[in-house]
Amino acid sequence: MLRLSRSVLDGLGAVVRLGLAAVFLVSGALKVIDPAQTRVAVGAYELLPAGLVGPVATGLPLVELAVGTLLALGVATRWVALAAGMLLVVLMAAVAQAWARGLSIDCGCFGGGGAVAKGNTQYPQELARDVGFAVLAGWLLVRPQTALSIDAWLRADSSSGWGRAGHPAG
Amino acid sequence: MSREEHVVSGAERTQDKRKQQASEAVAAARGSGGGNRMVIAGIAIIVVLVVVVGGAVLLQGHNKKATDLPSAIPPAATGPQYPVALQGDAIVTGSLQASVTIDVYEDFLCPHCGKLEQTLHPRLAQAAADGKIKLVYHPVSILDRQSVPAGYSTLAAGASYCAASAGIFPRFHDSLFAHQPTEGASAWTVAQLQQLGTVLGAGPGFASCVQTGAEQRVTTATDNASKYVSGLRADHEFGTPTVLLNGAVVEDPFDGQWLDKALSGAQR
Repeated sequence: MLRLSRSVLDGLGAVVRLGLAAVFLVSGALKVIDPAQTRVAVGAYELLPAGLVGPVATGLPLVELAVGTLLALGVATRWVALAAGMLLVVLMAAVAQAWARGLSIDCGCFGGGGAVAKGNTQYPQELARDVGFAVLAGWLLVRPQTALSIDAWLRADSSSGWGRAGHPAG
Repeated sequence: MSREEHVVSGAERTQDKRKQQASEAVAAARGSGGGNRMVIAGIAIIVVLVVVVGGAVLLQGHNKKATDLPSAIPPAATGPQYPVALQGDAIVTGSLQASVTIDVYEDFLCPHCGKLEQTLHPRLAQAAADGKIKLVYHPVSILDRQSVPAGYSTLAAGASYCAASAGIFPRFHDSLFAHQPTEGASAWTVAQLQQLGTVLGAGPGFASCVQTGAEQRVTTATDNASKYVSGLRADHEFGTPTVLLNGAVVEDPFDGQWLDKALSGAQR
């Protein structure tokens, strides 16, 4: 069985982490710059009472930006990956219920969104894409150690602390 | 220490794991007191988060202001006076005998319709008042999902029929386009539309007309308009605004040259 060395896996992890960070940063930014469209997109799911559409449309992009930022920095990677995964599950559930109820909407995952003509929906593609993102989050959940991360930087510091603490070196 | 690690490279993975677990325990035990890096990282994380999320919040607040509507619909000024007749799906204005017929298909929420109204409406209204053109409005509803709550396009189109019946169509129409709700934002309500009608001098029947709504009528009008206009176009699309000059689609209605040409040949 092929065993990849730790540094290679850390490097791959960094690619996964930064890729997922880019997904959340881009999707959050596209929603933030067009708040009217984001309200339309959230409203089109016909899930929330009218009073909650605005707050969710305002808050969701901020959560996405925060998750994206924390992923990009590589801090508390396992917990942030868990949050990212849970967010993706919620978004996939929203898309799936729209599909099941026969709504004709665009998911508005990366800006845009709202009603589309019947036959112009892309539910399978949207769900497949989200599953792909969830796989990335799953990797980080299972193996949160990545290169170029604050986590790694802190671990390196702690290692020297461990040495200073006088434990035998092996 | 690093030399020893190289020597025992066979056990490296296990050792690394142990080392990592131990170091995490140590880091946790030390808390923030001992780790300079913890402090630096914490500050860096907070700063970056504040910049990104705070910037986004500011951006949202900035955009939100632009879409706020006043509590009442400001009534438009009285423009040129032209006759208005309701004929089926269409609101026919100007001179029925004019040699130039202009059809305008509009959704009261569509931003480009608002732009078209701003650029061309004064001239169209004047030409209609002068009897040079037959100006036919087709209020349609294609953006119902784009308002909060949904359905403003249908509500406003239906109310414009009521306004035509009540004899206040020109100013009612102009008022809704002069202060047009933004897509995705809150739109004018039934009560606000009723109040506008009253301000413009509509009789008591107007309020109940707007209240009852004309959903079926607007839906039918929109379907008819969509079929008719898409049949005229090579791409078989229907969007708003669509302008027809003597039954032919005007490809670029925003450029007023087509209107110059049409009016220069128009006979009263």
